[in-house]
Amino acid sequence: MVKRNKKCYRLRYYIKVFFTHLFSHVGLCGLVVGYSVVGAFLFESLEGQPAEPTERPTLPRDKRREIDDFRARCLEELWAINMNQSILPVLRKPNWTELTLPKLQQLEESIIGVVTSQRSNGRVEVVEWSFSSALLYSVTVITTIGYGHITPRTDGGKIMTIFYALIGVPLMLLCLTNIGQLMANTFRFTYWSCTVIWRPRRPQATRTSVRYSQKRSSATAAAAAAAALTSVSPGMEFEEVRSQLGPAGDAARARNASGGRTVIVNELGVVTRHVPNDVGMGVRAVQNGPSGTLRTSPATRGGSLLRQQHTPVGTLMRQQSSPAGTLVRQPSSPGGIIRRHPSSPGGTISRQPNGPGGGSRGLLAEPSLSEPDCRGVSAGPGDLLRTSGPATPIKLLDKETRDILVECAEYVLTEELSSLLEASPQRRGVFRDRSGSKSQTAGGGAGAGGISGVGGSPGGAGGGFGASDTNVNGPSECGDVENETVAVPHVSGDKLVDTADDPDAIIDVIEAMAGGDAEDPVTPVTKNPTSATNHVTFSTPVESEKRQPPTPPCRKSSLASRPRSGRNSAGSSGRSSPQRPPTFPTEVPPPPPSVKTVTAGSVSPSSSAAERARRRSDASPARGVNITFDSDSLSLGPATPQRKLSSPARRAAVNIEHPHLRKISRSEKRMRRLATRQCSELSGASTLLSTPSSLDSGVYSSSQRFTFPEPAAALEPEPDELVQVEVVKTAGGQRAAGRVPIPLVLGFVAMYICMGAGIFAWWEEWRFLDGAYFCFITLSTIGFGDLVPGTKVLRAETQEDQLKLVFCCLYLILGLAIIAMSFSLVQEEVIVKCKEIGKCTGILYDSDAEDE
Amino acid sequence: MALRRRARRRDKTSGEKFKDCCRGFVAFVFSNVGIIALFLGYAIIGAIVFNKIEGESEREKKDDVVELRRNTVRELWEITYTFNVMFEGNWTEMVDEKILQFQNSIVKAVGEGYDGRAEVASQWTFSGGFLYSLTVMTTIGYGNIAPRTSMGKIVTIFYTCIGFPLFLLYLSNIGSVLAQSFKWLYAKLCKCRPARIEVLGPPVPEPEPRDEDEEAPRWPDELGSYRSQPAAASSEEASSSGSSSSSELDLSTVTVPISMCLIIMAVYICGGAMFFARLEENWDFLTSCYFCFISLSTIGFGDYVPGDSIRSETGSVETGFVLTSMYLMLGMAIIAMCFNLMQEEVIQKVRSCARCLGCLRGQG
Repeated sequence: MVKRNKKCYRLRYYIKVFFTHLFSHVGLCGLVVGYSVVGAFLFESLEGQPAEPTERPTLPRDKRREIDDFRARCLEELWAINMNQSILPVLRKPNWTELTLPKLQQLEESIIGVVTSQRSNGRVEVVEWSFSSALLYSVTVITTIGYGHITPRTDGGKIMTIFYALIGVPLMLLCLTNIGQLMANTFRFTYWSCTVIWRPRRPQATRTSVRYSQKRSSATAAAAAAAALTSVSPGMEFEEVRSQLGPAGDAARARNASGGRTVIVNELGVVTRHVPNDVGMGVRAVQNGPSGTLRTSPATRGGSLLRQQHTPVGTLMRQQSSPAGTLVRQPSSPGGIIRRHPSSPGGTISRQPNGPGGGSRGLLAEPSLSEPDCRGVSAGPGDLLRTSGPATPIKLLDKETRDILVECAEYVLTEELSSLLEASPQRRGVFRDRSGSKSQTAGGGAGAGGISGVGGSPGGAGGGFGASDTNVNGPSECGDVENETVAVPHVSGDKLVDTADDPDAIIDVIEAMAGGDAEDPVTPVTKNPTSATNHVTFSTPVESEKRQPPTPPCRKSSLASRPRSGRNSAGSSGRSSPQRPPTFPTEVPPPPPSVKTVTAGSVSPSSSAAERARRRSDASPARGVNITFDSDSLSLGPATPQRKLSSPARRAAVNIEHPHLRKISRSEKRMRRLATRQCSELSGASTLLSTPSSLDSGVYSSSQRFTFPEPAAALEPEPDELVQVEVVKTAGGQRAAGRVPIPLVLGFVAMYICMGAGIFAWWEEWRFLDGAYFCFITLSTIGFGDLVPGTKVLRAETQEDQLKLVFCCLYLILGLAIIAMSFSLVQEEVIVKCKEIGKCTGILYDSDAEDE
Repeated sequence: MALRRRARRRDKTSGEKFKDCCRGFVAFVFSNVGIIALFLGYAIIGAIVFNKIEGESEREKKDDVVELRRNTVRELWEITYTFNVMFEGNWTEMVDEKILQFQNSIVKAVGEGYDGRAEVASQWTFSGGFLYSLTVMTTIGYGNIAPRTSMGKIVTIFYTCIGFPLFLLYLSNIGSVLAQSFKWLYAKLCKCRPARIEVLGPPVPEPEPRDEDEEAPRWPDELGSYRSQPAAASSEEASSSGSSSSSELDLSTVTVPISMCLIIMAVYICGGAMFFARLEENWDFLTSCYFCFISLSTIGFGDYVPGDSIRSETGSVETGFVLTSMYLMLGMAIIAMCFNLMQEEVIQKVRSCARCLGCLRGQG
């Protein structure tokens, strides 16, 4: 039985694979191409022979000769008129003219007859049925372009055409929609990458970038990173971030990871899991790079993206550090509010979804995007958070260098911290080290994991670290593996204390950082044999502004956030699970000045520069740590870089997700929409979602994806991880990728048309306008056939024509795919716009959808 | 949400009223009638515009060529006149040159759209323009009439940009309406004669009589019948929205077999073929079928176009165009309907198939 089952299963699997391949892009393309080639042979055989004998009045090359004949004949007739003395004994103008005129008219008509013979009276067939022309013919049939420059004359050909089209047209449609989708996503992705790249140059971004760059140059990048960590974000309160070490299982993973590290360059990471607190729902995963520093994608170098979500129940935090980085999950305080501050490229975006329990907010640092590269940081609109560590492998540094680095880092940290504090008197960043405390052990009991807890005590508010310790409640899962803990800088009061006990650990971190990217912010990681929990508290004076009503149900909050969507960072996990208040960037704090472009300090416009600075500082911490929040449940396994996650964990994640999705499906849709919008608005967020894989997995769309790899270089450097991560992805996946402005799409199409116009105009000696007209008529599948390449009237036929015809086919198919792409892009955009308008004016609510 | 909306409505009466008006207007515009009107109106506008643009240039071109011919003759006369004593060699040489010029300019003129049929009615009459704009919008693109002037080309491009989405809207809208009503009809028939339906065979014959009935009277009737169906349906079921939703529920469960859809299409095409075969003397039935298919699939070779031969008989040009246009518009909608129905069916089939194979997990 078992065996049979297995066979069955395998068979099914193969069938499945076969079909997926068949319907994959390549398969479809192959199918279409093959089909058209077959059609070419078919029609050539059907039409080719019979055409010869019957009538082939004029081939293009014959035309000139034919016209010459006409002219010669006309001449003779004219001369005859002259000579015919009998009729006109004396030549007189009126008479002569009278006689001549009809002759000329005759000539004219015959010329016209020859020239236009190719066109549409059905009897005259000008174009030969060669293979290439038959190919063009079959392409024009299945694309429904139908030039009509060649048409079947035989009955067999006609019937064949009908059936050929019956199959071919749907096939072509399928292929086009498929390819169109693919291209649309690619386009979207490139668009976003471009925006990410370009944004930084904006003035807003520059300021911070300068600052950072200086620091980098002066101090080591690591130091800068450290500083960043220490810096407190003005707007954010960190109630408490605690990383609890994952359960033993996690530890095991971590080990694997670490093991992998040797294999994989950067993986040193420790994975710590925090089991959700009270509710047990929230999990925060913090992945620290080997060094415990979070690495943002190289692009993001300077900026780190942190997302924190506090779900009422629990929070899930994920911090991803280096790609291989360790994963630390920190349960958020129960009631906590989640804020996400994904950094927008130019600026920081803070997302703060408020949990119902609003009291505590976990704030994650906003990534400071001051660096142009930072843009690379994607807080994917759709929950796609990418923090990619520097692609560069980490090199081991000499001890000396390490030491130096460490010192620098410390120095910078303290310096920056102090400066920050000074800048905002209200804000007191307090870092506490709890290196010693293993709170986590209770739950997991596993090895002591380093916990980086950042507790923000609202300085201005005078609130203590609210939750710092409280969060621990959740069963801590496991100790960190290999005793690597995320280094947490402790700052008490103004002091910054580096808690790292083990110099080695720090060194490791630094190594990682240095190796990877000088610029990468390094969060100091301390390897403590014993788990150390660090709590960093950030007090945010500003907080009051930022706070959202604690209790708003996620949905509401999400809705509320909508209007501001612009400012919101990419629609973070758009799904509003009841628990997870929309990860959305419901940024309360950001003053109304919300700038549409979230990027460069979206918040900033209104906020004073000082704020920005603070934010950046905040962001910097983020660098070190990226925290992404998943919907509560999801966070687990996938976040871990290593594939080795225990399958159960994965499953669990998946399972959780589904019900979740279903429940929320509706709200989720909405959220997604928001997310997409936000995404679009977020310049900063680079959404990598567009990658095909993400597309394919529609199921996972809601999950968050974490990609560590460099955004630009490799979209999915670590495929495995991605796959796992995909599952976790919380927010609408590809959609999140964002929309592309219509003009851009139209411009692209126009460009393509113009390109084609240029080429055809050159080949066929058409005017440029004619070329453009031809391309447009073709691509819109109107296909008049008044202009067809390869049928120039007075011209010898050459071998080149064949090539041109083939090229024309290619141009056609590609162009149609592009058209399909732009259609889907534009459609999305238009629908959203229409709905917005409808909603604004209150004209439509539901009917709109139908119309579109 | 609903509650909130309602509440809001109560709050602001005047504003809401205005909004209601707007909503009503938009709803109307996007309703079936509105869409059809919009579509027709757009086509008519196109007809007028193109008639203006192309028609004028066509006339001008014609005049130009006539003028050219006259000039050439005059020049020839000059030549003849100057050589008072003519030697064939010289004379021929000179004249040949002139005629060559003439020839080239003719070719050029033809390239720009001169078709030599000077005395015959112009292509770009109103109905010609209408057919043209229809073929452009539907992307059929026969190409028997095509813009020759730069202006015409540019206008065509922008015209299409708007027209094509409009056409799609029309298609999806009318297509779904037709599909709904057809489903309803089908369900009705099934219900009325359960005995027949039980066997797989019966449903097939059923549609046939119906279609033929409609086919015979030709489209106006068909149009009417189609349109009356939904109305009848709604009226029968207490035209309130609630009841309609219930009927929709019923309809959603009804699937029309693919074979029936194909039959409908075939019948429609054949009906059209018969019609065109009668309209155009020199088309045989196969040719007409071919033409109908090529047209309705929007391939539109343009090797056969109804207006072409009709044009010679002056009077019937208009009717030929008009009938063709109507046939096309309705045919497109019917094809869309069939595709709608078939798609549902196919999706269902594929799904169940995949489920059998285990390729799909529960949801598909």
